[in-house]
Amino acid sequence: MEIQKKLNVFIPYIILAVILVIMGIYQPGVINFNWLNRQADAWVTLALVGIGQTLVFMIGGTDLSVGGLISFTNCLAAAYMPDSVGGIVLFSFGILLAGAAAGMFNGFIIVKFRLQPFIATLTTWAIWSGAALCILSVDGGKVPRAFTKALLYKFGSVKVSLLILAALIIIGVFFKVSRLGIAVLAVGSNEKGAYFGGINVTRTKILVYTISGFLAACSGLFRTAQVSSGSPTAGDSFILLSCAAAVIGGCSIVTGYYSFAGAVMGAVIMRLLTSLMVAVGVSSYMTSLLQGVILIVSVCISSFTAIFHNRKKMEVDM
Amino acid sequence: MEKIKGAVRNNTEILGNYLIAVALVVVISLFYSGFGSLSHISVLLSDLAILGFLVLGQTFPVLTGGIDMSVPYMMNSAAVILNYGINTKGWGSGTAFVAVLAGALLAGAVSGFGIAYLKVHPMIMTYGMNSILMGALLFWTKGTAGGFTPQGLVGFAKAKIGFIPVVTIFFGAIMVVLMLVLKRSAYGKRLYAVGNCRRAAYFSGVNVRQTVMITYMISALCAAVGGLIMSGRVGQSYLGMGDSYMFITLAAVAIGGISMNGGKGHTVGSTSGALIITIVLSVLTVLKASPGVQQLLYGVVLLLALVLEANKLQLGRKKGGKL
Amino acid sequence: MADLEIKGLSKAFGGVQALKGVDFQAAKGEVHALLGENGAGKSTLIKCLGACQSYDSGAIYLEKKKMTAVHPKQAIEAGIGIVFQELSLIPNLSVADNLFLGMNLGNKLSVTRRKTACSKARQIFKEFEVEGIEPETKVEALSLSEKQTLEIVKVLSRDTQVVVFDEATSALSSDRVEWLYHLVKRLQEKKKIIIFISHRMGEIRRFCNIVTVFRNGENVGTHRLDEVDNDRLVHMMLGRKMSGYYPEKISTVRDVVVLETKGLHFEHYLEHVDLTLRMGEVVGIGGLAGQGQNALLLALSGAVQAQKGKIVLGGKETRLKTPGKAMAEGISLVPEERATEGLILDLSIADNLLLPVVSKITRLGLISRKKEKQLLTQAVESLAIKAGDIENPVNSLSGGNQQKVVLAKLMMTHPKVLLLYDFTRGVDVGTKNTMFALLRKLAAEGNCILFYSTDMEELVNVCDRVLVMDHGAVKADLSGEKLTEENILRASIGDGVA
Repeated sequence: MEIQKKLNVFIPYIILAVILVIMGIYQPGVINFNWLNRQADAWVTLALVGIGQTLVFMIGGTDLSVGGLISFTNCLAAAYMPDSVGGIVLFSFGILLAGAAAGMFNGFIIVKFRLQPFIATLTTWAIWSGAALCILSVDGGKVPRAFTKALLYKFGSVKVSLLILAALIIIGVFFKVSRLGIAVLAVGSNEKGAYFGGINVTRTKILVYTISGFLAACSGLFRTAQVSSGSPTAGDSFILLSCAAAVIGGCSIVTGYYSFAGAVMGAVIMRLLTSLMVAVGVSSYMTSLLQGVILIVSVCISSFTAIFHNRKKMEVDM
Repeated sequence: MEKIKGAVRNNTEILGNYLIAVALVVVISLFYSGFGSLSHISVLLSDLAILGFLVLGQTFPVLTGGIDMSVPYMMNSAAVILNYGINTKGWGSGTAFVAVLAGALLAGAVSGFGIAYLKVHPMIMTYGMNSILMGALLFWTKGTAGGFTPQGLVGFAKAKIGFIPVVTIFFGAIMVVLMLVLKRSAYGKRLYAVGNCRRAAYFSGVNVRQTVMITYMISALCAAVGGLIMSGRVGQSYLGMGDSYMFITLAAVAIGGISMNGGKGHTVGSTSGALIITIVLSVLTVLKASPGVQQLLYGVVLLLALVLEANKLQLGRKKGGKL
Repeated sequence: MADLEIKGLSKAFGGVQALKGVDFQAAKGEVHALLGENGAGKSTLIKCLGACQSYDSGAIYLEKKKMTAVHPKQAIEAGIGIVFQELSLIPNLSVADNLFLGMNLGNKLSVTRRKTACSKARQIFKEFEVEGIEPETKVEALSLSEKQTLEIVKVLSRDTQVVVFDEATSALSSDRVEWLYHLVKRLQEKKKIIIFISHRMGEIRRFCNIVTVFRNGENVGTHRLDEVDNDRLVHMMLGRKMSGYYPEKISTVRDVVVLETKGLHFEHYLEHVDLTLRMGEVVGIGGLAGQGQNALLLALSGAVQAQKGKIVLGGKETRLKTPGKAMAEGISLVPEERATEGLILDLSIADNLLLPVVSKITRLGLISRKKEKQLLTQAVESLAIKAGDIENPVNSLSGGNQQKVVLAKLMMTHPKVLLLYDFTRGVDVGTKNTMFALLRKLAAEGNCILFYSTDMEELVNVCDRVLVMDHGAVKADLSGEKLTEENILRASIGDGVA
């Protein structure tokens, strides 16, 4: 019985192990440190929004605007980033700030007007996505070499992206026991109780959306370095993928479990599955199809876990 | 007489929409010659038929508090499969139509089942379904886009009575039928019950899950019809036909007085939203607005519509309704 | 001025005046009981006191200082602590996290916060003599009694000047009730101001020394408990003499079994319940709140599936999977929450009434106006529903009329078994009369009724038999001479029956 309770904690690790085994069979010897370094860039961009999405799920919401924000920050950086080192740093900070502000805006309208999160963030997705299109109508832009070099830098044999992933996991451990981390759990578990217990529910929710926006901006910036160009549709695939990463990572508002490490695992799994499909020869359209299927299946499993968790409660199942 | 007065009072917003639509056409026509001319209105009405069907369909899931994000590829699949079936697979027209409509119903049923019975969030289920349809479509047609639309459909899509397109009249008829379904059929009563308070509907004996599932089937069918009409208008099917429609459908639904929380609104209302959006689209084309600006604008418009509706609700609460 | 003084407190919800210029005084070192029917205003009063609810006019003074709190946290800091009926604990957090929710424990590093919280929690448990609850356990794993204990300790650990217990004992097991008794006495010694809300007279007499009665949002009087008897208190609560508004109880029981359950079981809610209902019987369910009565009705109505056991209807075993299917078989339920389960408030009265049978009045796919009108007129007349226009939304009706709509709606399905959950709660006396008369009429026509009420007087005067439930099991089956309020109460609290 204990195992069943902890199932959603272990599932991402199990799935990852299975994938690695399959890869080992089809492409023996592929998995080594070099391979890790090459994959890490793609992992980071998804892991960042996977974590953001996890936090938003845990307070009972959804953030669809991350796709638009990634496109927007990517295009903005690719089109306007100055070449000087000082300029790069300032500009990057500006973008991160913009992402946070966008996230804060999401949080504000959702809380103040009691809008349904998915529809509210759908509108902001359109706004940011449209803005991205205004900046760059087609893929292009010029990214400063210094910027690209900095983010793709290799410290000895470890790339910046791997370090970022490790940092995210460590931050996650601290976050969960921090006041905000506990507030997130409280708000997701019993909003009224959290309010009466003195937790500032409004502030918690807005903060979570702000973090989500900030992480999306990080992801957009990183992508700019990774691909060295901007694309107005850069972020579109991230919507579905970030949701899948969050769900596969085991987060559940019902059981009250979430972890940054899980979200990172979820991102890694989604990326590996995609490259596995490419390696096997699946066309890009089928990849989208399969990603859709994976998302739906993982949500169903999460749903069953929730039902199992609640089986002892006598609740009306409509 | 009382009933008419009551109906008007409850629907001032929608009447307002229709008035705004007319006003918009009149005002813009002052600045741009050709805008507002009969031939232009004819085009607008034809556009309305396409968007209108999508909006009619979307009304149903939204009335239950859900959403159908699979509209783009439902449209596209209908258009492509019809053409591909007839051109490449050698199907007869009748078979092709039946296959397409049945396929739409099936896809809608799958979405509806996942949402109503497996409790998958509507956005995730239909968004996933959109991707699945895209992949399945391209897989089946081996990447081609279907080819030319059969003459019969093209003829229907382009036929007119005076300056009024036949498809618009067809749309109008279906709108009335669906309005009757919503307001005077047993299913409609159950639908509003579920949209307003799922729990109480359940305790009153309503089969909530079935009611919800059917909304996605209706939405799928309407999207398919919209796609077929578009295919007839354009003369051929191509990939990406439906991509720009998702957002404007939602904007039209919101403007049309359908609450995103469910339970409020009807097809006459959502049609008014479709009308406004159709006109706005035309205005933006005339103004040569870039796709980026257009998308940004739709986001802002939808957001405003949501905020205004929320404001109305909150004011109503403060006035003394129970919280 | 008294130690706790409330002056002219008024609060209205929409068009309903929940508190009408209430004055109230409580003194230190006294355990002050608040008594009154549901909806009399007790809960609203203490919610205003604890700043969980705003009030329209009036003032609250604690030790001559005016209270200006607008949030429960501020109220606690000002010295008013309330132990609520609805638990405000966070299920997914640990016991320790819940105890110190939102509080600064003075840790620099958040990781050590956990250890500090646990050790502080243990200290608190020791101080309040609580055993058996581990600080690291997630609250959702605790039993209802343990959760209520935690809720109590949480408030007491803040050492407020005023402590209010809102039905705090209803979820406690009997040994923890003893524990609470000692705690309350300790608080009394410490000269705290203690307010105690309960509907169990025995408890009130044991725990408290002074009582204030509320009725219809007004304070109708305060007495010392040793100077007033129960009859007088009940009279104050009801405002009129007890007898006279029940229809005559003529037995219409026939010896045909309509509904039977065998071993109906749902862990923690229902304990292998066996029951038998006969044609023409009005059977009541009694017992303290939350002892499985709602679970039983939900299981019988098809809204929830029991984990084990059988339901036998008219001799045939059936699985009632949804309320819709149960209705088709002739079982209908008036559910617990009128606003979220019984009625769809934003829809019209007509739509609400016809919802269960809307498929049956269609002709060629559309609803027949003729049949619609026929059914609606019948429904409104049979229950004397006072409604201006049936097309108005149902939330424009008074509570009593709303409840009539719920009943009328279910009657449309021609139920053979009618299940009712506390359906006279918040209903005026005139409406109660009409409804009881209807129940008797239905019974006479050969249907059977199963109804749960917290009002023991109702149960005694309306039912042929009363089953008293405690901890999910039927502990007593009272009828004939044994059917008295005293026996129901005794069976409810686990005493032997006279």
